[in-house]
Amino acid sequence: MTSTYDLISSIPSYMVEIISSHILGNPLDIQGFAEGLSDDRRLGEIFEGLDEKQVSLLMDMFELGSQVQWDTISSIYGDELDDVRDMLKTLGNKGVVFQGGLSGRDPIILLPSLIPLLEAERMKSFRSGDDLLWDPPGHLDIWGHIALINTVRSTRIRCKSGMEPFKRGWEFIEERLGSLLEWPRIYWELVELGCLQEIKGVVAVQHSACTDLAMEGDARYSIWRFLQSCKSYPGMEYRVFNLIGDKTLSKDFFCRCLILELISRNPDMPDVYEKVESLVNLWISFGVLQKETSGKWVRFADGVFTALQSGKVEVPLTGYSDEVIIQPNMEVLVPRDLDPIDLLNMGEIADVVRADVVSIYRLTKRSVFRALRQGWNADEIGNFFDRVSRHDVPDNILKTIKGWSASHAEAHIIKGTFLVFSNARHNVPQGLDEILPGIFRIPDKCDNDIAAFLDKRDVMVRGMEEESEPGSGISWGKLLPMKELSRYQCKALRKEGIYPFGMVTPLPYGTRGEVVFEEALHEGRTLIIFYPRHGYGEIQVKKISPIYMYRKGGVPFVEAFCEDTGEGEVFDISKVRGFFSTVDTS
Amino acid sequence: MTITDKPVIVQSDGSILLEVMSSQYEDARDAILPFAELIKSPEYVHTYRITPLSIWNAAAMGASCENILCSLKRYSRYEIPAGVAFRIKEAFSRWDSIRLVRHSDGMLKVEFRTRALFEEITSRPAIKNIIARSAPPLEIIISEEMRGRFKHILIKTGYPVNDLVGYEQGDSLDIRLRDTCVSGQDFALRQYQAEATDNFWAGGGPRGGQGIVVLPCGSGKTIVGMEAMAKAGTYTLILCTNVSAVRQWISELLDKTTLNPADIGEYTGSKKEIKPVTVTTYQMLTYRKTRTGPFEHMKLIQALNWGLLIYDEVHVVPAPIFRATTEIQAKRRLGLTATLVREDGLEEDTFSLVGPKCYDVPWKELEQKGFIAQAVCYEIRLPLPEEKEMEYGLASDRARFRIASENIYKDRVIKDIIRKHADESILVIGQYISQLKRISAVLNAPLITGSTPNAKRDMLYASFRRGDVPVLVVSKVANFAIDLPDASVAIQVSGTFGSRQEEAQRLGRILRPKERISNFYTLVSDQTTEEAFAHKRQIFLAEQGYKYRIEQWSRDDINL
Repeated sequence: MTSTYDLISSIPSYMVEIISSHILGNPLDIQGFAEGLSDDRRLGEIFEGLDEKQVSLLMDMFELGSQVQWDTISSIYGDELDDVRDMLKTLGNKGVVFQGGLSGRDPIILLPSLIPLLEAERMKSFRSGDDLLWDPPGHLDIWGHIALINTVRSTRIRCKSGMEPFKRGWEFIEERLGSLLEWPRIYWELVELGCLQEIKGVVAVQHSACTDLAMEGDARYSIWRFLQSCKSYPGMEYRVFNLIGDKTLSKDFFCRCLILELISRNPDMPDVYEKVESLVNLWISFGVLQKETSGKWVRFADGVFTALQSGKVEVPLTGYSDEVIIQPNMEVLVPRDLDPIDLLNMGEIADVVRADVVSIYRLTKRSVFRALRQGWNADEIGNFFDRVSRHDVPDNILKTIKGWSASHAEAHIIKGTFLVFSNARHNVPQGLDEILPGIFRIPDKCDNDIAAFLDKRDVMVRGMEEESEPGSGISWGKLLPMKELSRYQCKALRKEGIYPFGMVTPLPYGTRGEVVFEEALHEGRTLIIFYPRHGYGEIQVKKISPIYMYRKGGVPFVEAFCEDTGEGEVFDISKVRGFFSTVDTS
Repeated sequence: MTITDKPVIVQSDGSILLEVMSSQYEDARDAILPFAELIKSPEYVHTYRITPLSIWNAAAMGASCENILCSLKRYSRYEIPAGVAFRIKEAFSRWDSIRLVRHSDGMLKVEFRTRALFEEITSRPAIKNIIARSAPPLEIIISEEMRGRFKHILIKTGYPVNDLVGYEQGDSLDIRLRDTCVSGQDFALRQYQAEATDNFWAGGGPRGGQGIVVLPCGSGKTIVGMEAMAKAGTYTLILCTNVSAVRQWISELLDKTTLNPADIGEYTGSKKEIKPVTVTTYQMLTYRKTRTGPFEHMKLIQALNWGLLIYDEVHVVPAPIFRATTEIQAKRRLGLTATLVREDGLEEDTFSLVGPKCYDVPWKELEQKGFIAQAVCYEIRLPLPEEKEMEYGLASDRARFRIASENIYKDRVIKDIIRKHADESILVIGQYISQLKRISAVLNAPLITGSTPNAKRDMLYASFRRGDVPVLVVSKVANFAIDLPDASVAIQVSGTFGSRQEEAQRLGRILRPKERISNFYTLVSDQTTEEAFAHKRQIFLAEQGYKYRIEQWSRDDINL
C-alpha cells in the first residue's frame, strides 16, 4: 500500500460514506475520508492513547510489511487470538487497521498514514553503539578443518559414493580428532567447500582448495557459516542484513523481527522462538554479530556489514602464534592459533597424532617422504621448522630428516611396462629383468603388485598415483552484495474491497448466522449486509430492516425492508457474505 | 603469573603437557606429580597422564579431588577440558568404595560403600568364586589367600580396593644403614632416595608397604632397597636378574649396612644359603626340570617368615613370579626399576601384584642435580660395505637386520672412538657373539658373554674397575645390574631390534656419578632396517630427556 488514498480507494464506494461517518463522524467522499484518516493530530492522539499491547501489535504488523495474513497473526498470537481480535476491532474502529476482504481470514492492513509514527517508534530500537561496552566478538577458527585435512593426508580413507567414509575411516578420523566434538560436521563442510574430493573411492585432499581455505578461511569462514545457517530459512540473511545494517539494534527487537519473519514465511513452523534465540546466539558465537556487554544490544561485528554489502571479504592481518615446539622424540606440539598456512604445511611434513588443546604431530619416515613428494626438501623443512619453532630445533631431528631425505627412493612405472629406479636399488623386487642400468621390465599386469611392494618399502612410485585433479579452488558459494529492500511493497488487494477491521463481519456459518438476523428483528435494528447481486455475483451493500424469517426447503430466508430500494425484499441468509456489524439502529 | 607463564596444558584425553622452560616448571611439577604419572620427559615438554590409577594413588596418599582440580587450574594455560574434570571426579568417587579389612575369624572382610556396588561386584562370576560367605547388604567375607586375586580382579574391573588389612611383620632383624661405609667412604641417603623410601613405607601403615620405585641406573636404587629394609627391620628376600647382581647386592649390603656375612645368604646355582636376608635370582625361583614340572625353588618364598620382598629390575619379573606374588599379599613388596616399560606389556600386572608406582623422577633431573652422570648420546650412521649391499637387498627382513648390525665398518669406527676416549673406561656392548668375538680380537680386549664363567667375569670386572682393562667387550649379559663404576663410554654396536628396555639398561651402565661427561655411542648402518630400530630407541632416550646427536660417516671417512 503506498498511500492512504489508495487504501481508501479500495473501499467499495457505497461504503465510504457509511464508514467515514462511523470513524470520523461525517459522511465523506474518498478524498475527504483519506485526508481525515491521515490527519496528523488525530493520528497523534490515537497513538498516544494506545496501550502497550496495542502499540506492540501495530509494531509487529509494521515489521511484517504493513499487510499481514490472518494465518500469520494466528501463529504469532496463538492463545491470545481473541484478545488480538478485540484489539484489532478497536483499532479498526479508529480507522488505523483494515481488513482486505470479507472471508473472515483476510489480510490485515495498516493505515499507511500511521507509518511515520510507527517508524519513529521503531527507531527507538536503534541507537549509536559508540558509547556502549561490547563483548569481544566471537571467532570461528579453522584449525579443526586443517587438522582434518592433515589427518586425511596421512592415510588412505576409503569412502562410499557421496564421500561417506567407511567405518574404519570414521574411526581413524575420530582417533585423531576425537577431542573435537564436531569432527563429522567439519568433514562434511570440507566436502562442501571442495577441499576433500573422492578419487577412485578414496578421500583425497584438493590442494588448491585447501590452500585457499588456509589463506582466507579465518576471515571468510564465519560469514560462510552464517550464510549456511540461514539456508534453512530462505531470505533470512537478507532480513538480518536489512534489519541491522550498520547500526546497533536492540537484541529483543531483533529477535522479535526474526520471529515475525519466520512465522510470516511459514506459520506452521514449530519452536520458532527457540530457533531464533539459538540462531542469534550462534551468530554471536560465530563473530558475525557482536553483543553489548549487558546483552541488550547487537550489531554486526567489524567487517561483516561491509563484506555482506560488497560481497567481498577483506582478509585482515592476524597475529598468529609461532610457538610450535619440536621435541627430540619426533613430536611436534602445535598450538591452535598457529597460522593456518603453517598448520597446513605441518600436515604435509608430519602426521597428526591427536588434535587437541595443543595438537600433537609426529615426524615419521613416511610423513617426511610425503613432504618430499609434495616438493619439499630437507633444507626447506629445516627452515620451516626454524621459523615456526619456539626453541632451537633439536639436532637429531634435522639430521634424521636429512638422512631420510637422502634415503628417499623414487621409482617410475612407465605405462605398466618399465620400472625406472632413481636410487636405493636394493628395493628392486626380485626377479625383474634389468634391461638397462636402473631400468627393469615389468611382467604383464604386475605393475600394481610392484607398486604395492615398493610402497611398503617407502619407495615413491610415480605413474601409479591417484593424482588429484588440478583444483579450481575453494567453493565458498555465493556471497552476493546485499541491498536494502523496500519495506512497504504494494500487494494486490482482494476483490471484495478493504474495510476497517471488525466493522464488516462475515456472517457466521449455519444457525449462528440466522441468530444475527433474529436479534436484529427482535431489537428492531437495521443491518447493512453484503449480498451478491442475483445472476452476477457482484457484491451489493444493502441496508435492511428484518421483518420476518422463515425456512423453505431447509434454507433460511429473511424478508426485510431494503432502505436502498425502498421496498421489501427477500434475502437467502446462506448467501449473505457479511454484515456491517457496528451500525446498530436506524 | 600471566597466562603464557603457566606451564601446564591439560589435554582432553587426560594427558598433561608441562613446559620445562617455564619459570613455574618446578612448582607445577611438584603440584601435579602426586596425581599424574610421568610418561615421557623429552627436552622441552614433559608429558604426564592422569589415569584412574594415578588418581587412586593420590587419594590413597590423602589428596582431595578439590586440591587436584585447584592445582590444575592454577597452572593450566587453558581451560581444563570438562571431560577431564569429570573423569577425575569419577575416579575419586570410586576410591575407598571397597575396603578390605581383617575379620574377627582370621578371614578378610570386604566392605562395599553402597548396595548397588555390592550387587554389581558380587554378581561377577570371577568374584562369586572367591566369596567364602556373603554378609548382605554391604559385606562379603573372603579367605586370606584370595587377597591378591581379589584385588587383581577388582582393579581390572575398574575398582580399586582400599587394602587396610596390613602386613605380616615377618621375623625381626636389626639392620641399619652406616654413616661410613666399610670401604671408608662417607655415606648418607640422598634426598630423592629418602623420598622414595618414605613414599614406599608411608609411615609403616597399611597404605604403604607395597610399590615400585622408578629411578635411573646409577642413581642408587639398591640403597633405596636397603633403607626400606632398615625401616621394615625384618627378614628380607631379594630377587635379582642374575648371579652378578646377587653378588653386587650382597657386597653393597655388607658395605653400607650393619648386617654381617652371617646374616646374608646367597641362593643361586652354586650356593643354597637361606638366611635372614637372602638374595636370589628370578631364574632360580622359576627353575624346573621339565616344562610341566614344579618350580623346585619357589618354596624359598615360604622358607622363612619374610617381612619384605624386594624385586630388583621389576620390569623383567617373569609370569610365575607374578603368580607366586598373588599368594603373598600379606608381605611387604618393593619393586625397583629404571623403567616401567615392559616389552611384553604386563605393566598392569606389575601394578596390581607388586604394587603401584610410588616414586618416579625424570632422569634428566637427577643428572642436572649431579646425582647421576651427565650423558651425551651419539648415533653414528655408517654405510654398508659396497659388497654387502646386494646380499642385504636379497636377504629376508631378519637377515637384513643382522647384516646391518654386523657391518664390518663398525670396527673401524669403534677404534676411532676408543682413540678419542683413550684415557677412559669403555664398554663395547653388542648382541651377536660372532660380531663381539671379531671386535674383541680387533681391539685385543676381553670379551664377556653368557658362557663366561662367573669367576672369570668377576675377575674381568675387577680389572676393569681398577683400570687394568680399559676396554671390555660385553654381550647382553651386561644389560643387567653389573656395577662398573668407572665406565664412562659405552659403544653399542648391535641390539635387540628396538628394545627400549635394553637401551635404558645399557645407558645405565655409564650413568653412575662421575666428574667427566659420559658418552653413549650407537653405531647404525645407514639406510637399513637397523636404522629404523635405532630410531625407535633414539626416541626412547629422547623421551628420557637426552640430547641425541647424529653423525654421518661416509665410505671416504671410514677409509681415511
